Amino acid sequence: MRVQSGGMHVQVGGMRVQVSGMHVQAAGMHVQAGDMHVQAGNMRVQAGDMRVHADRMPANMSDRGVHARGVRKSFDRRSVLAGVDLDILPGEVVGLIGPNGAGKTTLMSCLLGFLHADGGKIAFDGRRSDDLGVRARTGFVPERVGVGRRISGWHFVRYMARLAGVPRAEVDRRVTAMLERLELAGAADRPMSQYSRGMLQRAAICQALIHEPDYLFLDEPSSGLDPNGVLLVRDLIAEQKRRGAMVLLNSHQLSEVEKVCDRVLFLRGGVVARAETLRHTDRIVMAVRLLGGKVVTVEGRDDAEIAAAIRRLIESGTDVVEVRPYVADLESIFRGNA
Amino acid sequence: MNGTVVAETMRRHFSSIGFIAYLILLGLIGLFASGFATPGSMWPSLVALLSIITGSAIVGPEFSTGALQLIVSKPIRRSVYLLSRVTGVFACVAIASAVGLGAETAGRLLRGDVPLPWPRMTSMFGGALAASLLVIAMLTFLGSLTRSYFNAAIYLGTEAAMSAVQAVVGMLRIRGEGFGAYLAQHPGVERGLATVDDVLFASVRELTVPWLVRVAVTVAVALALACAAFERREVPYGAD
Repeated sequence: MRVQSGGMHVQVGGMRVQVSGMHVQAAGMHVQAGDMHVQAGNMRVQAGDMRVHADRMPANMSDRGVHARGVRKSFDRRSVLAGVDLDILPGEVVGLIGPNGAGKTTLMSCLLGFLHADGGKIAFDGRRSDDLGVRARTGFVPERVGVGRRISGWHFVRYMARLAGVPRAEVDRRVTAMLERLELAGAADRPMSQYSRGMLQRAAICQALIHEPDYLFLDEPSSGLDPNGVLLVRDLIAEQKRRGAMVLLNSHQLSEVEKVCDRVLFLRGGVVARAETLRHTDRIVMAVRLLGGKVVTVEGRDDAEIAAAIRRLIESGTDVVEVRPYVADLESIFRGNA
Repeated sequence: MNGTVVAETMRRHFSSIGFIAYLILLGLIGLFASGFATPGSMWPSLVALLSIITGSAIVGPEFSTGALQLIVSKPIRRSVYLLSRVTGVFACVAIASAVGLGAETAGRLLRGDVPLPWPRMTSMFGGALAASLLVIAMLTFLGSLTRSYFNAAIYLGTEAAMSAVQAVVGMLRIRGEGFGAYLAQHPGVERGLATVDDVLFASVRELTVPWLVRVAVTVAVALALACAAFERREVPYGAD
């Protein structure tokens, strides 16, 4: 065993523990940890002031998924987006968080083609966002739905479904099923001017999901919803993820983002100031609380690797108090970056 | 053209109490006007007014309420959407025009006015349709550049301004002093103003081929410009 202070380094067998000011770079990945990092074979443990600059290999624009590179947008010479990179892969839910004015809505508008980016590239499975084939596979839930006062919920969803390309023979069945799923069937015939904020939001979700989109953009989908509605939205996002859809969630509700997102991008000053992976699809990450309160994370490809890592930690003399699945504390991240 | 948008546009109008009431009013006025010696003397003006009311709402209000963002996220070209909305609105105005013509025809038949003055009546019907299409096209063009109902405000304001300018120019010419003398020597100025007014703000009249061609050209140019502007326009989401 070797111990170094001032950038302390502990090594036990194949395991290394490094404390303070560590910097690891491998295979396109760049990880910085202010506190502690433990590595054993394919397993890594990291904690403290972790900063991930890019948590995956840079994707080609032609690859499957939604990709944005260097997206810039200014309004009246005021830069709102100053070169944003973004990747959403099939079956992935990515959260967009950041303070007001960070550029979240502008980024979503550029991705959806509502705004023309001043620079950079945006590709959906290698195709442009204004490609009609891409739009046929896109669903969008705005924060607020503005519709004609007289139109009923049923007609609104049916109209949107037809525009989205749902075949005439199927549309009525799908509209009925979707309205029932969103618990709007009882109010389907009422004019939407009589809808509450939450009911409007449910109708917006109906129209976004009715054609089973591959690219789903959600802007505060839970705003105005009651607790049942929030749970329903959470379930629907999970369903879309299982189906293989690519979901971008813009929300200020950090607890919701934590629960449904695989990754989170923290936007500040028009750039991605921080990217945090909340759920790994290729490995298991556990948080280990040590005696004295310090928490480290342990990564492994399966339970056996996790168990081996924890055993080595204990055998090295570290006092382990608790082991639980790792979930990033978005509130702390937000406070630290806002 | 997108049938779904055309059908939805028509459905919205025919499910509106205001639109149905306007159709009933048109029918009653058509019946009333059937007693006049001059055929097609009242309802065509009401059809033109209806085209201003319905044409002003083709795209501006949707832009303001945020509904347009949902539309442009769907797989439909913006120009196709715009032209489909125009078609739907024009179809509603054409039906309203048919109600006026039908009511006047019924009134004349009930009064025993035989034979019916078909040439004049059908000419006024065609004139009302052409003028309405021009109004709708102009409002669509202005709506593709503005929000809410500003298109109607600009349209009516410009029309009133054109009339006022022509009146002032005419008065100056009659007085014959200063600029008036210049106008008297150059009648082309007044003719030009009148032509611009007639091209942009055609009033309902009997059909003639030159007028119809002029209306068709203006409509085509207005709609082409509207489509070009709407295709390039940014649609930031969120209501006004």
